[in-house]
Amino acid sequence: MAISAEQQLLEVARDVTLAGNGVDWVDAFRKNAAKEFGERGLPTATMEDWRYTNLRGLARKFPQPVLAESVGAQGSVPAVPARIPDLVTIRLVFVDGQFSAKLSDGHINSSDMLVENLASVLKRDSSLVKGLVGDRIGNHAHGFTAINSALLDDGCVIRFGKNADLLTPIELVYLSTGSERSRFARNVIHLDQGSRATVIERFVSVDENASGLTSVISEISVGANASLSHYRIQEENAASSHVGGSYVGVAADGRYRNATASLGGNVVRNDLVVALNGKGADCQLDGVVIGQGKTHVDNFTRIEHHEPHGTSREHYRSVLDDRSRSIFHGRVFVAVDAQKTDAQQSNQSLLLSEYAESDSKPQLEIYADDVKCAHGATVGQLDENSVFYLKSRGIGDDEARGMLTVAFASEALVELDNDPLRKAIELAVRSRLAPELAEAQSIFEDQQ
Amino acid sequence: MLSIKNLSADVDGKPILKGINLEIGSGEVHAIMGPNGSGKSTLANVIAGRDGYEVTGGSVTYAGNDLLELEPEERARDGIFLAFQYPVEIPGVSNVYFLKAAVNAARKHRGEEELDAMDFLKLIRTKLKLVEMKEEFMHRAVNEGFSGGEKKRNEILQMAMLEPTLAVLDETDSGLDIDALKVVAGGVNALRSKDRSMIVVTHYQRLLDYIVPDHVHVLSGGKIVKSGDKNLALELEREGYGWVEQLAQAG
Ligand SMILES: Nc1ncnc2c1ncn2[C@@H]1O[C@H](COP(=O)(O)OP(=O)(O)O)[C@@H](O)[C@H]1O
Ligand SMILES: [Mg+2]
Repeated sequence: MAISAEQQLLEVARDVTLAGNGVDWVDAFRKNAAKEFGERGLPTATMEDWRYTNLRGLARKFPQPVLAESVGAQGSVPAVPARIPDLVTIRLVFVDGQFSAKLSDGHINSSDMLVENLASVLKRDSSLVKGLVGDRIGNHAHGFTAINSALLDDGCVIRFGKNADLLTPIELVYLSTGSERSRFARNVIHLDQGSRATVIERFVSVDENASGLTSVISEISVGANASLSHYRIQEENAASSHVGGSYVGVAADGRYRNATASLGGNVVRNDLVVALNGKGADCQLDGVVIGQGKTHVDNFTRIEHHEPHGTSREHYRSVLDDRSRSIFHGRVFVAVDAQKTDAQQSNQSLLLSEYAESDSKPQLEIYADDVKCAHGATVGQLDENSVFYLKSRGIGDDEARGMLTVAFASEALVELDNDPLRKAIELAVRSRLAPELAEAQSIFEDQQ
Repeated sequence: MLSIKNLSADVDGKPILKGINLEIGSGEVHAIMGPNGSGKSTLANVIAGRDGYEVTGGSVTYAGNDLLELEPEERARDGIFLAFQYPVEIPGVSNVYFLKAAVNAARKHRGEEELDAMDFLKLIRTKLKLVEMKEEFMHRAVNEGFSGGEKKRNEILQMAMLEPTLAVLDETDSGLDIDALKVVAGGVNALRSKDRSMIVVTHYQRLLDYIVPDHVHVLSGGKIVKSGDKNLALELEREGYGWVEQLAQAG
């Protein structure tokens, strides 16, 4: 009798030896998560929040998890993505979810800043992340968060003390290699009062043979007056799926900014849950989806306003070609005490093919009475007036449409406050939508 | 240069142009006047090749070639330029990027080398002066948030950059105050040359005080009902369009 994906994963979780093994709270954390996973199982389309994203393929045959024990077999060092032009970063590279010291710039471990991979932290001094791991997911848990916890091992830890300010962005690169593998990682980001950081996550398939699943979950707390800019660039290949989540808490006058560019992949699901837990807390979530082939991207966002004077902004745009599909869930919850909340949301899609599909699900749940909440969604095609305007200046039809399509997508990124990064994403968008307008550029550095 | 013979065209299945005849020689400036809805913009759009304007009869020949065969972008590269009555806003595309693409498309078509960023900037600075536009406009999205006057100046700037052999200006004066009108007219006059013909479409005579035409035609009910020199414009100003509408009915 064939065993289910769930059973198979539970067996892996039971038998494997992971970082921090033998530390009581770590063992208990993983054991509870395994139990929870056993109860929940993988999400199915019968669950309200997963209605649009069918994971049957994964459930039928779950890709083999890559764990530290098996990494030794990797052998050769894979090519790493090129640096973002004009941007100096501190780079940590994870190969199939496992930290690669060889490909990374190193760690930071000073009196008020810690940037180090989770497995090392768990082995060295697990108290540094005790109480932080598992802290933010709370009642947003589902099967993927549970299995991610049950297999807790590596990822990145970023802990900043009071007023610590790192101007250099931290760049986390997740490389997928090999076929039909699943890769898990857990990030813990904790910014104390008044501190500031930029974190860039890049998800890349090393070549066209890489396939399976990547599941990276980040638990993030932004302290009072602290600020985190968090960017996620997904460029995985069409055979690779991605189920990830960022679970964020923001204290009074803290600021969280997220921009997610989903530029590839098979089935992509991004959970983004932001709880504005302090007065005057602020978040801005931007997203751009480029759908080609059969790419399916499900951006599930939930913003919770718990205290007064919070602001939230969401701006998601999709350009959908071929048979691609994008889903935007925009949940906004405003608690009864969260007066003077200002929440705005917009989701716009451009369909380039009659087979492409866009679904937009705004959902406002408002219990306070003195609030400003606005949302809007549009789905459409290119404006023929604009096409004609460009053509009347001698610009060819393809080029005109390419320019307008790229412009539409780029509008989701205008607020992105890091110029080199914005340009890099724009270039990536351009090379997908209008390759003739962008010098075809390899995202990989020359093979070392 | 441009020869329009017995041209008729439909919009949405409705006949709008009903037999236009017009000959424009090299370097000539022709004004086309007429009441609202008489078909002035339709004629301009047919010349530029906009979709949705169906030519049902007649011919348009430009520099000896059948213009109606060509795509809008081919017409543009061959030297035809339409200054829009309602310039389009294009969020996300900077003016400088747009202009560079347009200029280089034409250069490529002529077998010339594409301009690099430096040469392009040098060129654009001289042209910006012509229409009294600040350089910052180049870095804003095309026409986005521009005032009416700024949009019209931007049209003339594009014309100055593209150096067309036939420019059709569709109500370039509409929505302009007198100072802006002078600037725009000054830009247009600076571009007058023996190799460049112009069709200046306007509802009001006022523009023609600044851009003095060689010929004036009155369009009414989809036909040219009267042609003359610049004095015809003054006559129209005095008599009003009621007069030409009577002419149209009589003819
Ligand atoms: N895109 C269009 N769709 C439908 N009707 C149009 C369109 N453009 C022009 N028309 C009609 O054609 C006629 C002539 O319009 P137009 O050429 O714009 O006149 P003018 O520029 O002289 O004011 C008008 O009756 C107008 O309503
Ligand atoms: Mg008109």
